[in-house]
Amino acid sequence: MSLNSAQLRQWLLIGAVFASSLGATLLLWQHEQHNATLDRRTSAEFSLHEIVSRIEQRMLAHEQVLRGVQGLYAASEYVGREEFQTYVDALQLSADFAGMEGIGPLPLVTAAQKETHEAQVRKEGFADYAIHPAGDRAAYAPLVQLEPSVRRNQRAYGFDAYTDPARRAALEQSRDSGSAVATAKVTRLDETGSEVPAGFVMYLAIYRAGTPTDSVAKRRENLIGWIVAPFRMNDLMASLYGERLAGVEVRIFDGVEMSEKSLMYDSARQRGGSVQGLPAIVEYLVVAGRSWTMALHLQPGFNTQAAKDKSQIIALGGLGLSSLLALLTWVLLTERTRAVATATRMTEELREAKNHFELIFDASPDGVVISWLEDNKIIDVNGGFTALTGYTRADVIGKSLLDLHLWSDPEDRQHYLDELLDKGSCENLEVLLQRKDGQQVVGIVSAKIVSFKGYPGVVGVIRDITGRKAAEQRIAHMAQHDTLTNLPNRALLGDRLRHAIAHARRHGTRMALMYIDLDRFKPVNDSLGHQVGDLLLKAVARRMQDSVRASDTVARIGGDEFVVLLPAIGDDHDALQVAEKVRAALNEPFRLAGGHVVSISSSTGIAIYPDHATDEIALAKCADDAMYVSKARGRDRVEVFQPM
Amino acid sequence: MTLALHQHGLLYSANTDTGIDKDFAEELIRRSGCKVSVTVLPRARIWQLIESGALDFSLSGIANPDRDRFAAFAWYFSNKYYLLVRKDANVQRLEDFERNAKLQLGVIRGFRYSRSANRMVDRLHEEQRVRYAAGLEPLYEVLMTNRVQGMMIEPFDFPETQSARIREATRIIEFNDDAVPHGLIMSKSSVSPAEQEKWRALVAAMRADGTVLRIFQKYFARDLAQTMVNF
Repeated sequence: MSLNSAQLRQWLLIGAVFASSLGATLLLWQHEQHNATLDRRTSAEFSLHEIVSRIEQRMLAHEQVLRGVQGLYAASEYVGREEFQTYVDALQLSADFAGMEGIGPLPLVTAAQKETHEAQVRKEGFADYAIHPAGDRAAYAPLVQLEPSVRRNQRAYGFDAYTDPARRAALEQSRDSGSAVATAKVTRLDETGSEVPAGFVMYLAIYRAGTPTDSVAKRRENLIGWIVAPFRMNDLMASLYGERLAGVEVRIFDGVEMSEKSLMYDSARQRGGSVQGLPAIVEYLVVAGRSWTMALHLQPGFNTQAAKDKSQIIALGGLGLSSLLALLTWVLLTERTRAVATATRMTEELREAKNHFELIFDASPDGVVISWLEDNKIIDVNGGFTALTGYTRADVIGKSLLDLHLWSDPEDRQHYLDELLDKGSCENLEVLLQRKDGQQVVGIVSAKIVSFKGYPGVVGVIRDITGRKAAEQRIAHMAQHDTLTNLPNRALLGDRLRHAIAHARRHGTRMALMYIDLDRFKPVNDSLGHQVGDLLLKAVARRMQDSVRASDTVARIGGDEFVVLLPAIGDDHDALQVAEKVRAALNEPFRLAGGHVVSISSSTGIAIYPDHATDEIALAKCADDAMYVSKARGRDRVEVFQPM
Repeated sequence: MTLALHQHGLLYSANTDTGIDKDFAEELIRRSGCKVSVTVLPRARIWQLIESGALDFSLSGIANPDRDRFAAFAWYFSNKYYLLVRKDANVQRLEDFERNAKLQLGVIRGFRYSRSANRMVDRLHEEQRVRYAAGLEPLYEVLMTNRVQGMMIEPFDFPETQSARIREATRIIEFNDDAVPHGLIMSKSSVSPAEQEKWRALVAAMRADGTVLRIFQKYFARDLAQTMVNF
């Protein structure tokens, strides 16, 4: 299928509408997605701060507990096992401090003090007490007590924290700074004798009461030990987590490296799952002098539903609207095209129909006239009408059909109107019309009432039958007349004779019938030819007609036989006179074309109605008989019928 | 009353329990005659507490419109800001850092800087190119492990940057902004305007009698200390 340029433009336009509204949708969708992303980030950051804040506060709270113990030592010359226990019990560490596995003193024991120290502790009721791992070292940091003691594995007492590099680093950092310091990740809490997935130990240095600590050197000099608090990471996190944030998983790493080795806590793993994907946010905490890395993972179900739905609604709605808009454009465009096409086709058809109509209307030899019924005013006429009537269109349009001097006979006009109004149409009404130049025309009129522009009108068709009429008349004439002389022939004569007899009978008058036969006509015909004979017959006919009245009839009934009918006579004499006049006229020489001069004579027989006969056949026989008598008596004479 | 320090280079180091802020705090507390308990907190936490009124004072704070709502200041030094950037990041100018989408910036949460430095941080934050930390220590570590390629520093951080391993790997680019005044932070929620004036007078006196300069000279070269204190 190939497209023309208009169709191509149309499709391009529809495409452009679709594309632009889709583009707008895309922008909106992207904007919404961007907003959703920002929302996600804001929410994620909020979640992160929430968790960071909880961890920092909790760790500060733990530090505070250690500082409290530090304060106990700062205030007392001697803190015994029982005092320490009483103090810790008094703290009433609640579930909020879960994760902290206990608090205990960690005296700094020099090599010289070792034995005394061990003896002292054994004396306090721990008979098996010994610093371990065994061995001679310059200094020891043995665990001597961990409160609350209920849960404690007392075999852990005597564990020398200095022997573990991680612990030793934290111990020394705390010693020098006077601050609480946490160890790196540990997996064995020697302080409680338990293995843990991840934990750390927090230390806070204790200095001899009343001694200066305002420099590192002085702190080292006056150090007497530490407060120790081992932590189980999972419990610590569980205690501070409170309400878990939906869709957020947290992983905490010791240091800034994120590896399985440094992993301290994994919220997903706690519940038997695992985090997916890369962390959304990473932030570095500083907890008790150590850097921790916190990674926040956003999981399906994180506060994203609303924004996601909105962008989906925008995408779907926009797509739908774009399609509708394109469809609407298509409908509008093609509707117009279709309408134009239909209109063009209809116009074409109309024009064609009009052309056809005009062709028929104008080419018709019949006169067609369209007029209003109400006032007979002419709406239009065709060429046939103007040719027929001699009027131009301008002459007749707007004029009343009845006012035109078109009707020769007012009766025709009335007849036409009566039939039209009566039957709604008239057919083949023969009328006599008068042309503009006065000439008479015979026409056949057919007309019909029609609806024109919603009003009743009349379409009339007039056929000019003047010629036909004349032909008909001529044929009729020929049937009744002698073609040579144009005199009535035997048929017409018979007709007129019957009429004359009937008339005479009705009125009691008399009439005469004469038979005239030319004498010596045959020799003329034979010697001079038929043409001369014919000329002679014509001349005879003229002279005979000239010799009678107009009301009399001269007829030719045979080659040289003529009849004269005198429909009204007074007596025989009248008839005789006319006969003699005719005989005399025929006796005059005939000067014919071609220079021929012919002299003839005639023999005439007369019969009178009702004297000789009362019917045409008998009367004709009487006249014929009388004519033969005339011939027999020497020709060139007139004889009246003499009954035997 | 309460005053919080934050660990930040020469301002305060918990490892040594020393720093400009600690010295300044001790002298200020001594002169005020008030009983003030001093704690060490992350900077972001300090601002939260100042806003809530749970903390009365902190030090070395800079203002911004948001902080002006809840905090009053008594200025005692000013300094410029710098971008510490890894040499292998190929950053010659500040714009180079911004333009390279692969570069991440390390920032201490809760810190604000000079005008154009703030603008850079905010823009990079929009592009998710900022890593936050509670303190400087982890930032140096992630800078050295190439997790971030640059970080914002102040003159207090210079000694640390001069450590051999950092100096070799980094360069310092100065933000072309005016020096930003730093001062005593006072919580408007807990310190009345009248009291604020008294504290300002104390700070002004410490500046006037050369105490502030002396404290700074303990930590900085003489001319840098003077530049920072005389603003």
